[in-house]
Amino acid sequence: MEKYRGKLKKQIWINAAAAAILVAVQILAFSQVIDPLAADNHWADMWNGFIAGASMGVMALFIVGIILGIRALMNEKALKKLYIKENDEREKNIAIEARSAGAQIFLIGGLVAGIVAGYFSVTVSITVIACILALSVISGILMLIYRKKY
Amino acid sequence: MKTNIRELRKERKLSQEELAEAVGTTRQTITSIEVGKYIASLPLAYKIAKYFGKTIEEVFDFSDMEEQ
Repeated sequence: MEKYRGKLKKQIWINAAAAAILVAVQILAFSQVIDPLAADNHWADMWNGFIAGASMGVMALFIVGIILGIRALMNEKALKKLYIKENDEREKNIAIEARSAGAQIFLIGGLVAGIVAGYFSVTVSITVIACILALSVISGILMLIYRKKY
Repeated sequence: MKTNIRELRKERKLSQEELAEAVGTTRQTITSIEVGKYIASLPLAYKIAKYFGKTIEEVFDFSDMEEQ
């Protein structure tokens, strides 16, 4: 449990650093030091609003993580509960299967989308195919690593 | 896979939550194992069997595997 306590402390610091970065980006955006890239002012405003909203949402997640972490560190029972929740083998298996199936669907769907997009936009088609290629290469490298590991 | 976990639990008047906490897993995992939707890993099966003072074969029914 001591090892997990240390890991949790590290997670809290990472969450705090990430939240601080988001706050800094928001301050820079509101003071117009940085502006979102968009073709015209209408889209720039919309995009800025979307990015600001998304930042708030992600920041809320980080803050919830920090609060849960601190609460668990102060209470042994809550710490054990969080440890079990994070290390439950069934939950881990569900996550692995869901991600694996998701990646396969993304690969097949993306390949079809990339080909179809080729008839409408070269940029979109190349971007989609590049994403699929990157995912395939990363999956292949990870497979080699895990084959050596197990 | 069939198991005797529910029977063993009831004998000892133990809730799923209590068993889950004792073996370091969640109540949902115990429920899934009991209804045969999830097969426990060897370490978890060992922990459950040890908790009840039984062998793995006494808690988990491997007859389906023997048929295969």
